[in-house]
Amino acid sequence: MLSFDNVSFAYGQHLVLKNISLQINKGEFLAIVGPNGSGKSNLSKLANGLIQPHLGKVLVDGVITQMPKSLREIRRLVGLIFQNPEDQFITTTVFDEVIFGLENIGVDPDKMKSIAEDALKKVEMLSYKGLEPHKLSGGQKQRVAIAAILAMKPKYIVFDESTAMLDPEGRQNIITLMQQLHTEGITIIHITHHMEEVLVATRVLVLKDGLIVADGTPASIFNNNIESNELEVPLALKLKQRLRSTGIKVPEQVMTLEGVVDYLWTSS
Amino acid sequence: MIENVLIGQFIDASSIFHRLDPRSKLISLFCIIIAFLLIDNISGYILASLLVVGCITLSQIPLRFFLKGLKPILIILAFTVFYHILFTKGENLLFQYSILSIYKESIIEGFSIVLRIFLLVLITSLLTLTTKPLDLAHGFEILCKPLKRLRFPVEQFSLMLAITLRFIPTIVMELDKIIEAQKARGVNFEDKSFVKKVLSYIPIIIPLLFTSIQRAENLANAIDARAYGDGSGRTRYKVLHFENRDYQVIGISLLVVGVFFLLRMVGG
Amino acid sequence: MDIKLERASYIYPNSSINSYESLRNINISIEAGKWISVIGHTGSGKSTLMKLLKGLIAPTTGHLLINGRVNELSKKGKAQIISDIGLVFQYPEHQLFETTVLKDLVFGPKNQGIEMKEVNQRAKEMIKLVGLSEEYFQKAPLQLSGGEKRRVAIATVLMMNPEVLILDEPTAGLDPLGSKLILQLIHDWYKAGGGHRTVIFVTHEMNEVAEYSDEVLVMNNGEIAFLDSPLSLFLNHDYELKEFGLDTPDTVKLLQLIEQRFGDYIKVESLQEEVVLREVIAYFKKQGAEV
Ligand SMILES: Nc1ncnc2c1ncn2[C@@H]1O[C@H](COP(=O)(O)OP(=O)(O)OP(=O)(O)O)[C@@H](O)[C@H]1O
Ligand SMILES: Nc1ncnc2c1ncn2[C@@H]1O[C@H](COP(=O)(O)OP(=O)(O)OP(=O)(O)O)[C@@H](O)[C@H]1O
Ligand SMILES: [Mg+2]
Ligand SMILES: [Mg+2]
Repeated sequence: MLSFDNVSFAYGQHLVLKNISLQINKGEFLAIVGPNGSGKSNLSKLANGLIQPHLGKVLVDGVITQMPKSLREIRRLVGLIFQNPEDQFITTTVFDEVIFGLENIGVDPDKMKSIAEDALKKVEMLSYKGLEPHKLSGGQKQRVAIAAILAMKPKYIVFDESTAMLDPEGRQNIITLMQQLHTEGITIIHITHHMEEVLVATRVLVLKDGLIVADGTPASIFNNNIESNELEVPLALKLKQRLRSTGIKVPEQVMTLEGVVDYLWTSS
Repeated sequence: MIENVLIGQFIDASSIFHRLDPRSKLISLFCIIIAFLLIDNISGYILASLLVVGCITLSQIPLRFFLKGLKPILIILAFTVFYHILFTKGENLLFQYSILSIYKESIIEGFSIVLRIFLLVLITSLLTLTTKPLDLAHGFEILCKPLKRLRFPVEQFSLMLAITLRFIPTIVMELDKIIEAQKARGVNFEDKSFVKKVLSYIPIIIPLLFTSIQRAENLANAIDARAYGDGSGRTRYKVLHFENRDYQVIGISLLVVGVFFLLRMVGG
Repeated sequence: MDIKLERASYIYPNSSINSYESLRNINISIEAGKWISVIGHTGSGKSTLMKLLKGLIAPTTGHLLINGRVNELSKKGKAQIISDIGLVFQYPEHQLFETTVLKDLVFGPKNQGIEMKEVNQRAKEMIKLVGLSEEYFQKAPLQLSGGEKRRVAIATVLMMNPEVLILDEPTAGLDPLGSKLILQLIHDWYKAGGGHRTVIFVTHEMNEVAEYSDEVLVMNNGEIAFLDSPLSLFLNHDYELKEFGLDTPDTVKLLQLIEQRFGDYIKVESLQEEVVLREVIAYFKKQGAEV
C-alpha cells in the first residue's frame, strides 16, 4: 500500500500540496486528474521519495520514504515515468537506457538482454534499440521512457502524462498495456488530462490547488461533476445528459457511446 | 553545432577500437599520451602523426567527424601559435620591428606545441568516440579499485565521470536549442561580421548556464528514480574481460612508449 | 502569406552514419487565411515539417516559397528564418530560455525593435490571455508545471504578432479547461485577422481537428498522405487513418455507431460537436415520435 499521511509540500512560500491524506491499495488502477499546476507531478515525486514532504509522511508498503537507507528499495517498488521523457535519459542508446535500471537493481546479467528486449517490444521500440534517445521523435521518446521503467518490474507504476504526446494508436496501446499490467497485479497510477482514459480506471482522484477535491469511481466523479466545467466531459456523457433532458432516460451507469446507442436501439 | 563537439559523443561502428575492453583502451591512451609528451624532434612528430592517422583509419569513423571536432579548438590553437611567435625568445632572429622580434625557434616551438595538442586531442577523442560513457566509467572504476582501500569513493567518482561525459553533448544540444529558439524569435546569427557574430552569442551564455543547471538537476533525479542509490550492489550487463587483442594493444602501446623514448634519446 | 514547399525532402545532418529521409517529396501549398490541422503517427515528420516551414532548417532537396518567391538562402542549403511566422515548439522546454517569464515574453518583440513601454504593456495582456497572472512574471520558466510552461511558450510567440502561427502539439499536457482556453484564444486571434492569418496546428486530438480546421494534412512515414477537409477525410478515409495509427473524432464514431445500429446515416454539415449533437438529438426525437 502507498499511503500519504497529512502530507504538505511547498516551494518557498508556495504551498503546492496541502495536508493530503490518501491511501492507494495494491491492485488499484488509480487515475489522477486536475488542472495544470495542481500538484500532480509533485505528488508522484513524493511517492518514490524524489522529494520529501515538509509535513506528514509518505509510506510505501509500510516503509517511510524519509529514510535514506530505504530509498533504493522504494524506487525499485515504485517506478516513476516522468512527465517530460527528455528528463530521464541517462545513457547513449535506447537499449542501454533500459539496461541502466536493471543494473541498478542487481538483475542477473544473463537475463538482462531478454528482459530489456521484452520491455522494448511491449512499447514497440525494439527496432530502435541502437539509436540515441535524443534523436527520436516526441512520442518515441515517451515510449522508451516507459520501457525503461517496465523492465525494472516495479509493483507500483506512476505514469505522469505518459500518453500526452502519443498518436491515438500509441495511446490506446499504452492504455491496453496499463490494463494488462493491472491484471498482472501491478498497481497503476495514471496522471492524465484525457477524460476518456479515466474511464478504464478503478478509481479517480481529482486534485485542485494542492487539495483532493474528489475521490471515487469514474462514474460517480463524472455524474456529479458534469455541470462544472473543470472536467472535459466525454461526448458520450454529453449525449446522455442531453437525451435525458429531452426525456429519453438513458441510465446513469452508461458511460460510452456504444452504451448509449445500444440502449437506444434496444429500447426503441 | 552538436556535430562540432567530439568529447562525449559515441559513434557506433564495429571496428577493433569499438570491441576493445575499455580498460585496455584507457591504459593504451595513457601510454600514448606519455609517448607523445616525449616527442622532441621532427621524426617523432612524423611517427606520431602516422600513428594517429592509422588509428583513425582503423576506427571506421569518417574523418569529417574528427575534422569538425577540431574546429572549436582552432581558435585556442591559433592563439597559442601567435603567443609563442610573438613572446618567446630564441637565438636566430628572423625579423625585427620596433619592440616586435621574431625568432626561428619560437616559430618552430609554436607549431610543434600546436601539433602536439592536435595529436593528443585526436587520440583522446578516438577513445570517447568509440567507447560509451558508461563503459568508460566502468573500466575506469575497475582500474581504480585499489584506491578504494584508501577510502576513495571510486563508484561515485566513476559515475560522475560518466555523467560529465554524457553531459557535454547535452549542453551542446541545449546550446543548439537555445540558438534555435532565439532564431525563432528574431535573433539573427548569420550574415554578420565576425565580431558581431561573437557578440550575438553572449546572450546565450546565461540561459545556457541556467538551463544546464536545471538539466543537471533533472538528470540527477532521473538517476535517483531508477534506483541507482550509492552505486553499490549493482550488477553489470557487460562483464569486462580481457581478450588476446587487449593484451596485444597494451603491448603495442608499451612498445610505442619505448620507441618514442629511444627517439628522444637518439634524436636529441 | 502564402507558403509553399516544392519537392522538399529532409535528412537530419547528424552523427548517425547512415542517414534516412525524415521527410520525402513534400509538395504543399498553404494559402493565407486557412486553419490547417496536421496529424500523423509519432515519428511521421510533423515537427520536422513545421521547422521547415518556419525556415529553421532548410530542405535537403527542393525548396520553400514564400508568397511565390523562393526563399533565397534555402537554395544554398542554408536556413533562413521567416520572421512573420511564429512557431510554438513541441516541447516548451525548447522554447523558453530566459531566467524569468517576463524576460522570455519581451525577448521577441525587443528583437523586432518595438518600444519597451509597449512591449511591457503587451506582456501584461498576454499573460492574462493565456490564463496566468502577472504573479508569474518573476518566476523561472523552467520551474513551472508542465502546463504552465506551455502557456508561457504560446504567449512568447503571440507577443511577436505573427501573420502565420504554427503550433506543434500546443494542447499536449494542458488541462481540458486550459486546452479550451488556448484553442479559443488561438481561434480569436485567427478570426481577428479578418481572413489574413493562418494557423498550422499539429495535434493528436482528433476532436480538436474536427472542431476547428478548414483542412487536415495527414502525414505518414515522412510523406503527405492526405490533404482534405475534415468532413470528407474522416468520413471517407477512416479505414486508412486507422492503418496509419490515427483515429476519427468522437462525433464520427457516434455517427457511425448510429448508422450501424439503425441503418440511418445522419447528414451533417460539419463534424463539430455542437452540430453533430444537435442533429443526433433531433434524429432520436423523431425516432421517439415514430415509436
Ligand atoms: N522546481 C520548482 N520550483 C518552484 N516551483 C515549482 C517547481 N516545480 C513545480 N513548481 C510549482 O508547483 C506547482 C505544482 O506543480 P506540479 O508540477 O506538481 O503540477 P501538475 O499538477 O503536475 O501540473 P501539470 O498538469 O501542468 O503538469 C506549480 O504551480 C508549479 O509552478
Ligand atoms: N534531431 C534529430 N536527429 C535525427 N533524427 C531525428 C531528429 N529529430 C527527429 N528525428 C527523426 O525524424 C523522424 C521524424 O521526427 P519528427 O520529430 O518530425 O516526428 P513527429 O511527427 O513530430 O512525431 P511526434 O508526434 O512523436 O512528435 C523520426 O523518425 C525521428 O526519429
Ligand atoms: Mg505535471
Ligand atoms: Mg513532433
